[in-house]
Amino acid sequence: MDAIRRRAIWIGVVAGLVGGLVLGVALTNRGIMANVAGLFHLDNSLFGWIIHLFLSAIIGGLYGFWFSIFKGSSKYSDGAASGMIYGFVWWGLGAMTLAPILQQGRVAWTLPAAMATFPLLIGYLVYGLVLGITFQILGELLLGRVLAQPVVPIPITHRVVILGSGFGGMAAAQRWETHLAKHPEISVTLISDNNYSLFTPMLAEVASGALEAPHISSSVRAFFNRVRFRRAVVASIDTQAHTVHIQPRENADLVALPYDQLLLSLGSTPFDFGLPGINDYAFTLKTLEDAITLRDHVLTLLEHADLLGGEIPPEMLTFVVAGGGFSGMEVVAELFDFVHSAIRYYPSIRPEDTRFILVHSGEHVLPELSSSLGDYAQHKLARRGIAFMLGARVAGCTTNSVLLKDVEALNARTLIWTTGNKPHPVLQALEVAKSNNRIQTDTALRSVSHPALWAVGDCAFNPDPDGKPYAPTAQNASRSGKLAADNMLAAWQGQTQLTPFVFKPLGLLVVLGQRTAAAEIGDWKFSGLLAWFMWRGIYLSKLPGLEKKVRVLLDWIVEFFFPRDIVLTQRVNAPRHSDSELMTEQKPGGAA
Amino acid sequence: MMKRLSLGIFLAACTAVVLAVILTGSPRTEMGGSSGFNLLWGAFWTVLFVFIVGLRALPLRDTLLWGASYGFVGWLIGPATIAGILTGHGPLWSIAEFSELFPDLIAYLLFGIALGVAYPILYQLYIDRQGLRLPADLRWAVVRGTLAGALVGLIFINRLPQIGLLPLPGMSAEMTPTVVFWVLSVLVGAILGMVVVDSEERAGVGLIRGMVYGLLWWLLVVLTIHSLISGEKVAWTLNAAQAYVDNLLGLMLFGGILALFYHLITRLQNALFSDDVGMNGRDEGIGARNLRALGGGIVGSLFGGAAFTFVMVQVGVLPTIAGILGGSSALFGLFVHFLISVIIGAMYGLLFADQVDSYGGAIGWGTAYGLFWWLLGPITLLPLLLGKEGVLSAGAALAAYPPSFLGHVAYGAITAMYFFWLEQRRKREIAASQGTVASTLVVDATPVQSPLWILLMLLAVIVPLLLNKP
Repeated sequence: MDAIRRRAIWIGVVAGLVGGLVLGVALTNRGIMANVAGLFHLDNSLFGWIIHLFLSAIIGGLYGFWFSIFKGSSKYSDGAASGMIYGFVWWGLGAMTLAPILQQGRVAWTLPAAMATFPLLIGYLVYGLVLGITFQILGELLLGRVLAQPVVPIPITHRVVILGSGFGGMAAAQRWETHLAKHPEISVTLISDNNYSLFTPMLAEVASGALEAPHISSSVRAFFNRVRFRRAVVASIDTQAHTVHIQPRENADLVALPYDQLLLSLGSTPFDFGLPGINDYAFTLKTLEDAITLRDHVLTLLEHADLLGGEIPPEMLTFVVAGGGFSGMEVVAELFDFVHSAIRYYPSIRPEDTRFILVHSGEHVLPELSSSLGDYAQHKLARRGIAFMLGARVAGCTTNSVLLKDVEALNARTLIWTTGNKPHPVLQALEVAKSNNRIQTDTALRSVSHPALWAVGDCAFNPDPDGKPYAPTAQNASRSGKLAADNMLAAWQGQTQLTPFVFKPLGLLVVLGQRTAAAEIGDWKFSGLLAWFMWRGIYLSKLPGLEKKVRVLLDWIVEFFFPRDIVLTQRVNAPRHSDSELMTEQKPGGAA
Repeated sequence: MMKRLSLGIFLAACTAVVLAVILTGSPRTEMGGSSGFNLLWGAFWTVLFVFIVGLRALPLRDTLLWGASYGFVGWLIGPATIAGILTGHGPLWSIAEFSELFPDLIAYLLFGIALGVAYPILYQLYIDRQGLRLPADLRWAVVRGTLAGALVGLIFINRLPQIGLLPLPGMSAEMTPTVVFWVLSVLVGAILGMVVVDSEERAGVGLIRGMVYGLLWWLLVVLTIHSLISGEKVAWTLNAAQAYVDNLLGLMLFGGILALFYHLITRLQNALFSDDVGMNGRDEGIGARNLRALGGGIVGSLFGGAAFTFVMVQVGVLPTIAGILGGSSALFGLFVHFLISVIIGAMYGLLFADQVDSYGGAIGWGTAYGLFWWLLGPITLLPLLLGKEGVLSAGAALAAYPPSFLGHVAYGAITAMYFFWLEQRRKREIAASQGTVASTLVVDATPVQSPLWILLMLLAVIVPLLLNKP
């Protein structure tokens, strides 16, 4: 409640006393003032007056709390009407309900009772009339000048900058949004090169054409009323001068953004371990662009393969996925479904012409899950026809082959690289305490070397109570982002005891296409259709924004009834990087 | 200032003449108060009216309500309070004294209505000096009103003879074919269209407006014109008025629903035929807006419904409520009660979204909405659905007074306050994104809010009087 409203309540108290005085005189005149004292089993008209005025003041104060000062040419009538209806409500609440309960312990809602309190009904109306008009007059007189003054903006004394609109950054900014309602002296700026927040768990479904790309990304701006958003690339961070340099456009001048506290949640970028060809020819699945590129690439391959009249070279429709983690498994399953759903439109492609191979360095896929679920997932996918190469490592790739370590190369035109991440380039240049290339924080998520710096998500090394790092998952990032905002506020307020980040993942779910999934929630393991429904239900509920939820749900419903969309928005003459050589090769008379 | 004063004095002189005729010459009334006091007070009050209404070009639909509400307050302060104090009786606030002063009340209200009708005409002629002009949209308004009257006439077709919209001299209600009453309903709809024309208000305000017009229609047509035509005394005494309670209930419900239909038809016409770019410049689609209003109303109604439950348990009416859906247990009654309260709350959201700008406004409009449902619920639908006698009758009203009356008011006010809290939260967020603060301390009341509320208080005063038959 603001200070002006508090003054309005006091004005209401005074107006209530004026109304009470008028009503009191009338009631005394009618000889029913003693009844008021009777409410409290007292028989004294002085007590009656004291109680009456006390109640009038309280009711008037509540009027000041709820009602308004009117402007416009009928303001006094507006005050009077408000007061009268308010008085009537108090007749019902006070005279008809509370007073009988006080006196007899029960309500007396009968016509005779209403008749008996009829003078009070009129009295309350007159009381309200006087109260409303007095409040209006006094309010204008006492508050008019204050209210006419323009609102002076509160000077900013503390600047918070958040870098990155991933799960960690968004969670922190949303938390700050609620804090800012109480702390107008703080400014929070969120910087990201995307003006949307991407819901990465559904990215594989975008790549496979099951979901529309904009449906899993929500506008960052829509989330915030107080946090400021700026779409820009982070160029550098100066920890000495407490400044972030951002670049709003390519080739634009750098903009310096000073901060008092900085939260780093820049995430990670794919890392090729220096293997040849990966950077140039492999596909990744980190961004919305990646997903669209991959989908278009697959469709382009299908279009070309169809032209070959049944003689499709084996590498053409061989899809290799490197990495048997969550995203690798999901993308291979989704891609399999996508290609098999699409080839019915391509008459000269037979299902046998397509090959799907998952290369994984470990002995079990999905190492994050227990081995039985991992084996279940592998078994499910293998039965559909997806080949697994366990204990194998990718050693590089060319346009039409995937090189493997110690094994013969695979003929394949498509390699999807889901393994290997490195922190954001800006952080590589940043001279702060790091562990494993990630920013080393204490358990409260604050950098151990720079107290103004905080970090969460993939770019941070957030230790658990045992000192081991939390896994780079969306769950951890959102939880730690929220806590980081709380701790940053607490640290600014001078609290020394910050809350340590302690979080046990609620569960892990992986979707395997074709209405199958595997899930591990606590000690419970789920698989098959039930797990698939759980996956869809849980991730749909986690998808931010009702609008996007509805859109994704509709996409799923459409997918249930109709084949996947194979529209290719690219034109033939506009090849993308890895397709360029394919196009030259497949010109009429080229490979054939 | 001089113009106001001179207009006031002119009107006061007219009032004095009218009152003098009513008070002295006519044997038809039984005015309770002293003629001299009424004459002076009436003149003074009329001058004040011009100052309070604030000399602005208000349309007839509003001045009618301003005038009547002004008449009511004038009577409350004058004959009912000051006159009593002057004569040493003290404020005349008891049932008996009010019963005696009832004819004065009617006279003041009719005088207020006359003031309301005269004001826009005099304003145009005397202040504007542009000659009399009819509202631009009048022809379409009559068409819309006719349509609304025809539709609502069909809804009320079985009740029309009982309501008595217009007097039918020389014809008894039993002998008159139903179609005649339907034609009267169409006629009343057209009159409503002429009075309302077009107003930029929420549907809920239209509903309450219509309800209050019903009350005024009862005073003017049923209690006064009808009797005059039949060559009887005007039915201004409480005893005489008590014979027409059924008409009052029916007219208020009919008026409310008629005005709501008229409002919706007007909105439809605007949506179809006018290019209102500016009017709907809102930040979200019509679907989102209405869904939000529905949701807010439903959540609010749970709180309002909980308050009403207290009343229902006290009175033990839950088994009766269960009867609506064929049950008989109190628990089932509670379920039915909450079901109804959710539906009514959702309607509140749709009808009053964006109307209220303070918690006080929520109390006012919520009370008004609660009173409408007091008419439509226990007095109309409950006996109708339970197959009982006495739909829209004084008996049904008596059975629903005071618990149901107060319960509906509490329900409406609490639902509206919670709904407003939800709206306010959203407004605050939007204001924050623009760097401003959403304040509820200073607001601009809608032009019609005050008289509507005051006339609802008139209803609150006369209901116990009318129901109190010896």
